[in-house]
Amino acid sequence: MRLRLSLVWVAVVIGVGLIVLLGFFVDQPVILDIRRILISWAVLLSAAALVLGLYNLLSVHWHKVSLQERGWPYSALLVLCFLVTLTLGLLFGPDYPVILMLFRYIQVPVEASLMALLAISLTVAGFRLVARHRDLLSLIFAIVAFVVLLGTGPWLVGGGGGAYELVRDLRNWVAQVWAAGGARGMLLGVALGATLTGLRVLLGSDRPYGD
Amino acid sequence: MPDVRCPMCSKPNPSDAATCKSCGARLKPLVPGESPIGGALGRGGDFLLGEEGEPGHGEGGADWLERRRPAADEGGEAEHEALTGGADQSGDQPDWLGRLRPAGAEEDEGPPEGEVPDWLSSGEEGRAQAEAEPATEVPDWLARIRERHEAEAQAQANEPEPAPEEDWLGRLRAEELPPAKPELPPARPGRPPVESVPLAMPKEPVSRPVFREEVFKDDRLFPAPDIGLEPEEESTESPPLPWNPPGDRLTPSRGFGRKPSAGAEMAGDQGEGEKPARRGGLDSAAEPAWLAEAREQADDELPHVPALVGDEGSAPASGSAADVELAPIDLPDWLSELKGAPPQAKPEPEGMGDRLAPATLPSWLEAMRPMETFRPVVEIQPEEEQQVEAAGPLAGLRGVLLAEPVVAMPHPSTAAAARLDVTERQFALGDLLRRLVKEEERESPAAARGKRRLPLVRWAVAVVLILAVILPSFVGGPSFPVPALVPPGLPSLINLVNELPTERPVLLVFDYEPGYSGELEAVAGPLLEHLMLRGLRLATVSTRPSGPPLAERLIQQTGEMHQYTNGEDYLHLGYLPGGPAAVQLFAQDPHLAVAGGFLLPEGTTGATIWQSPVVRGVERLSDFGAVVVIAAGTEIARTWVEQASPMLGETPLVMVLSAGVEPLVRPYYEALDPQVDAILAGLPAAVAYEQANGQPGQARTLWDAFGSGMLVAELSLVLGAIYGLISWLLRPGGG
Repeated sequence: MRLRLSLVWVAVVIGVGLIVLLGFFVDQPVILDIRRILISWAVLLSAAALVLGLYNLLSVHWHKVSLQERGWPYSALLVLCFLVTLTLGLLFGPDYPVILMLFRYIQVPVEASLMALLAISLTVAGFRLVARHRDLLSLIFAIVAFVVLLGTGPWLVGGGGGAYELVRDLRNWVAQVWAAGGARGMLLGVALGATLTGLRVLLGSDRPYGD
Repeated sequence: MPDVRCPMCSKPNPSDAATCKSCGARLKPLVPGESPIGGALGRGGDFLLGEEGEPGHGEGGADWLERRRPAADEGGEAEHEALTGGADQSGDQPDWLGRLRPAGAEEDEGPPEGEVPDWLSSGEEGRAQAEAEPATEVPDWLARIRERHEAEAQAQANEPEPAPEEDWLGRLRAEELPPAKPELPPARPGRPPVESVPLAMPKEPVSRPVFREEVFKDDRLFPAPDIGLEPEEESTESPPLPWNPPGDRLTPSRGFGRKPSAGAEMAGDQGEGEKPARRGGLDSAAEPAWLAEAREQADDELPHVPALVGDEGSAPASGSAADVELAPIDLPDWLSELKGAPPQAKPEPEGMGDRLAPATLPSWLEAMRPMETFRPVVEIQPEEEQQVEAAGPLAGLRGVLLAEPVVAMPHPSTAAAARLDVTERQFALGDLLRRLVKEEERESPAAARGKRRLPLVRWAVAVVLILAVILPSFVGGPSFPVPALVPPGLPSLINLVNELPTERPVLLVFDYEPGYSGELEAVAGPLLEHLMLRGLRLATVSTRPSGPPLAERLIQQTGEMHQYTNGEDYLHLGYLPGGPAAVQLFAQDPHLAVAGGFLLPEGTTGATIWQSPVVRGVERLSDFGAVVVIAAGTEIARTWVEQASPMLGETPLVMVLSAGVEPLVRPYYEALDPQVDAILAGLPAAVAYEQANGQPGQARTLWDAFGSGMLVAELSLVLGAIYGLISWLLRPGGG
C-alpha cells in the first residue's frame, strides 16, 4: 500500500513538473492555463508555509517563556510584539497608519542599526586579521580588501589623478574579473545543480516529498 | 564356572547368582517346581504369614483383607504392582503354577491348536448339554477330560457334603451361566486357577481386610498358596467368584472379574463397551460400605489400569464349585450375605477404555528394572487438557511430545563457557578502554573564568567609525570630491530611462530588507527621480512583506518635489507571497498574482486595482515600460532575472543593487545575450547619476560620510598591519 502511494506521488510530481516545463517551450493556451493554475496552487502552498513558519516562531518563543529558559524576557517581548502587530494587521490591514508608523520608526531604524553594527564588526575583523594572522592568505585578503576600499571610496586628495585612476581600474579588475569569474562559476554550479535536481525529481529518482 | 550374563544389562555375574549385581534383574527364570525360598512364593508367603511371618498375625490369617484396604488407599502404584503380579505371562510363572502344571500339563488337556471353540463362553449348563450330545461328536481330548472328571466326581461322592454356605459359588455359577453352552474344556494349562485363591483365605473371619503395602510391592504376591490340592483337582473348571478375591481386585478389569461367560472374551472377543468386571459381578448395593469406599478411592486415585496384564489369560478358570474345598474357609459376614445374590455383570461405562494406560509396563517387566527410581509415572491428562503441537509435521495433533519447547524456546546454553584467552595487548587495550570510559564518567571541574578583557580595540574602532560617519553630516567636513569619472554602464542606463515610453508604466520591485534601505534608497533615488522627471507612471510590487512600506517611503521622499500622487502617478500592487513561484505567476499573469494592494486610493480595491489609471492596459509583464528590481541579495536578483526575463520580451530589466551584490549579477549583464539591461550599484554610481541628473540628492549627502567611513576602514587595515608587524618584531624569536 505504501509502495502504491509513493508511486502515485511520483506520478503527480512528474506530471506537474513536465507541464510547467512544457509551458516554457510550447505556446499552447491549454498548457499555459494548466501551468498557471498549478503555479497558483504552489503560491497558495507557499503562503501557507509562511503561516506555519509564523506559528512555529510563536510556539518556540512561547515555550521558552513558559519554561523561563535563558533569555526568556526577549522571547516574551517578541511574543508580545508579534501578537500586537498581528492583531493590528488582522484588524486594520497592513496599510494602517499605526502599523506604518511602527514600521517606519521601529523596524527600519532597528534593521539599519544592525547593518551599521555589521560595518563596525567587519572593520574590527579586518584590523584583527592583519594584526594577528600573518600568513599568506591573510595578507592577500587584506591587500585585496584595501585595494577595493580604496578604489571604491572617494579620496581626500588626488581623486582625479592618475593614482586614483590606477587604483580604480585595479578595483574594477578585481571586481569584474576575479569576483565576476568566481560568481559565474557559482552561478554555473547552481544552474547545473538546479537542472540535475529538476531532472531527478522529474524522473522520480529523487523524492524530496517523501517515499 | 562360566559367568552368566544379565539379560538386561549384559553384565557378567556369577553363575550361582539369582539376580544381577549390577541392575538387579533376575538371572534365573522362575520355573515350576522351584523352591519357594527366595522365589515368588516365598515372598508371597508373607501374605499368609503376616507381618512377622507368623500365621495369623494381627487379626489372624485374614489380615490380607485388612492390608487390602490401606493398600487401596496408597494409590495406584502399589495396586498397580499387585495387579500386574497376577498376570500370567510366559516365562514369568510363579511356583504354584509350576506345581499345578504337571497335573494339567498333559498334552491332551486342551483342544488342539486351532480348534479351541467357544469353550470360554460355556458354563456348567453348557457342559451338561455337551454331555447330552452324541459321543461321536466329542473329540478325543474332551473325552479324556470327561473321563477324568467322572473319576473325580466319584471320589468326591465318597467325601462328606460341604456346608451349605460353601456351596454358594456353585449356586451362583449355576444361576448365571448361559443355558445352552457346550461343555468347556478345562482352563488353559499353565494358568493359575483363580479358585485356589479363596482356598487360601484364612479361616477366621475378618471384617475389614487390610493389605500391607509391602505386599503389593511384590508383583508375584498372589500366586496360589500351598493348599495341598492335587494338580488334577486344580485343572477342573472353577466357578465364577461372586466377589473379588485379593488377586481379583488387583487384576485388570478384563481379568478375573468378568462374568462367567468370559470364555468368549478370553478368546479375544471382548466387547468395547463392556464394563470391566473388577468388582466380580458383585452388586454394588450389596457390598459393604468400606469396600465401596475403598473402590471409590481406588478408582479415583488409580486412573491408570495396566493394559498389558491379564487381558486374556486372567479370566476365571472354569470349574465347578464342587472341585473346591471350601469347608475350612471362614468367610466374612459380608461375604456370607452376598452368597445368595447372583453376580450381575455391570455394563461397562463409556470411556472406560480410555482409562487404560497403554504404556504401563507389566509388573514382571518392571520387576526386572534395575532401579526403582526409574519407574515411570505417566500422568495421562484428559484429552482436552493436553497441549496441541503447534509446529512441525505433528502440528495440530494433541497429546504428542512437544518439540518446540525443547528446540525453539530459549533456554540456557548447556555448553560450558569457553575460556577466553586474552593476550597482553588485548588486555592493555581493554584496560585503556576502561580508563577512557571511567574518565568520561568523571565530572570535569568547571573551567576557571578567565580575566575578562575589555574590547578596547572594538570600542576604539567603533568610536572612530561612528565619528567618521557623523562628523561630516554635522560639522560639514571633511569634504570628499565627487567622482570625476562616470562608472561604466551608467550612461547606458541613463539612455535607457530616457527612451522609456511614457504611456506605459514602469514596474518597481522593492525586494530588500529595511536594513539595506540606507544604501539602496540612496542608490535608487537618482533613478527614481529620473523616472519622475520623465513623468512615468510607477507601479510597485514586492515579494517581501516589508517591501510595500519601503516603496511608499522612497516614493514619498523622492516624489514630493514632483507632485506624485498615489493612485494617479504611482500605485502599490502590494505583496506577492510565494517567492519564486509568485514571481513566475506574476510574470505570466499579473492580474492573477496580485491579490490586493497597498495603500490603495479611495475607490480602488484589490479587485479593481487593475482598473487604476496607473496600470491600465497592463495584461502581461511585457506591457510594462520597464522593470526595475531594487534588490539587496543575490537570490532575489537571480529569481527575477531567471523567472521574469523570459516573459519580459522587449521590456528592459534594470537592476539596482547593493555594492556587495553587483559582482554576482554582473554576469547576467555582461553576457552576449544579456538578461539584465542595466545595473546601478553602489553609492559612487548614484552620486554620478545625480550629477548626471543635475540635481544633488541623498547620495551626495551621504557621500562625505561614506568617504570618511571608507577612510576609517582603510586606516584600520593599515594600522592593524602595522600593529601585527611590530608585535611580530618585538616577539621573542621573531624577526
